[in-house]
Amino acid sequence: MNTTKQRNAEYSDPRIRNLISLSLEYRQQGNALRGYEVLNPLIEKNEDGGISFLLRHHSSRTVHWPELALRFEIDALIEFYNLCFVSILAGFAPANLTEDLNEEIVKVLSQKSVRRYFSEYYPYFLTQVTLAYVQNGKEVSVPENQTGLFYSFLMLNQEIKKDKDITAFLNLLDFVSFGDAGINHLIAYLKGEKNLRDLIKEKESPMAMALFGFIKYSDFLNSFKTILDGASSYPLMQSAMWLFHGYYIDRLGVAMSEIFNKGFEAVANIIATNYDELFKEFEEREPTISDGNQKRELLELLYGMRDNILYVLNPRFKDPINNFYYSLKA
Amino acid sequence: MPGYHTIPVDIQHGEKTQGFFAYDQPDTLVIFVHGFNGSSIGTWNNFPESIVNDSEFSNVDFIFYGYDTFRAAAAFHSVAFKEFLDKCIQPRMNGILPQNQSLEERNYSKIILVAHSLGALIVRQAVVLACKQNVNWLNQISLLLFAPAHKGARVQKLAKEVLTGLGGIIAAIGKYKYPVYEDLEPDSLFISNLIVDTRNLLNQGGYQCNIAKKVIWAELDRVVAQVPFCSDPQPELVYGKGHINVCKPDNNYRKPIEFLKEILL
Repeated sequence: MNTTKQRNAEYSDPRIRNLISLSLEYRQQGNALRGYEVLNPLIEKNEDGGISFLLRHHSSRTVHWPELALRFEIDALIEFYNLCFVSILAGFAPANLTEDLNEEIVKVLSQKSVRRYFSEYYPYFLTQVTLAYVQNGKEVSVPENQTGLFYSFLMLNQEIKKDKDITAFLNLLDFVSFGDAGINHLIAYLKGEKNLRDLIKEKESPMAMALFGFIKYSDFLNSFKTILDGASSYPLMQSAMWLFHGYYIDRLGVAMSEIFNKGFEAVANIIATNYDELFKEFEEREPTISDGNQKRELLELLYGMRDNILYVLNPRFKDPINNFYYSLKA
Repeated sequence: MPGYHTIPVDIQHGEKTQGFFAYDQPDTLVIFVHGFNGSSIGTWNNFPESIVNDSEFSNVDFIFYGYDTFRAAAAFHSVAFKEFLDKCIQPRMNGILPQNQSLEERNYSKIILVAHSLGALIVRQAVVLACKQNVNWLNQISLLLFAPAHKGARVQKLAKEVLTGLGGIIAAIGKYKYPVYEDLEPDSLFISNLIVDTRNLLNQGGYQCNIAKKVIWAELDRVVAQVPFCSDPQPELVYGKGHINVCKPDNNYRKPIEFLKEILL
């Protein structure tokens, strides 16, 4: 799109300007741009062998740096396309995007090995829906104005995106071990079977980072519930927002629920059995404001957080987009 | 239909700081600073939603400043925030504005610092530091403080209500004390020095930026010590809200937005 046309379009439809802003941040720089620069020449030259090798399943041959770095860049590109789809459903971007972008999405996502990568090897369902939507051209009913909610969604995503602690926790959950320490070691710390204080003080060790990641991801899921609740009148948008995080909360939802259940249960047990000892120092310092109900309130708070998390991890959020996808395929 | 601002972009200062910026030349910058165990976005709930859809904010830039409250003490965070403020005066030149969104350099006539709880300590100390250096942006500064901890926090209650984000509970179980705990004690060296420095600056005259434009107290707040700070105005009271949710607007609670507008206009 040339500059004059672009400006005219910006003023006639704010959604075009929104899309340009989204693209400038998420596509025209950084990982997604590099991902496109990696893939596009290979696609143009029809070199499926190179793409197929780069995007292979790790069981066929281990993937090391710098291949992993290239794959992260392609992941960022795929994520941008999915973000475009969510932005359409939020009424933030035009329903038909732009001609150039549609062509690009179809070119990249329908490439044989790319498609196998996100649909078979590392299933990321929303990507299949994005591709089907763009290919199909079917009209979709979108809310008039959910820009604010979409901003909150984007900002919350960014909060967890580059967080090393969260990455450490998710890696642990995804069966990556730190030496011989896995997710059960983290639970052992939460149960008090290992010295939690020593772990917190370590701060930069992989297991300490996983602990902080557990805390931060809990906070993220709690905040995500607020966004999902805000989108409750728009099931498609709500479902797409949920599936945007589907690589973890859909694919690993069951394991995640189990870990959060165990983790919160472990912390609650310690509070229930050792409350007096744990908060003795506080009680001694300010006995006059102790109201005697704190133990109960603390436990209620913990269980409330856990319930919010389990609510978000419920796979029913997938249903509206799932149904939409099959309507596109019908 | 909204379209006043760029999409939210990462800002490479603090911890997960993000901002969105007006397409039209803005005259005001609003910076949000969260409290303990908060996050650049989570603390403020629906603030971004309310802002982007409101034409009264169409020519305002917004930054949600983040810092890692689990690591480092209040003094450290204050200096880091002061350095960030220095850069915000020319945000394009200093890489705070996204370089690729065709935005022009700013010339703010007003910078509103909106802080919650511990964030009020960070912000006040940063302003004190700026006063001591006689920087040229002091007259632009206005403070809007929600449930400020500038007179300390009741650590016991903090453990229950604020730290009880999971991070606080787990720290309590591990009998671990985060560095900012000490700073939040009502008689901490940090708070004592802040009060003395603020008084001295006010006695010298000309440092009105140290007087908050608005201080908001929540009826159900059992966390912070609700004691007036130096020459601050009489606090405005919010009924039915506690320490954590006093700064979180939602569909039924619009006061945080109204407070901001009152300072803006």
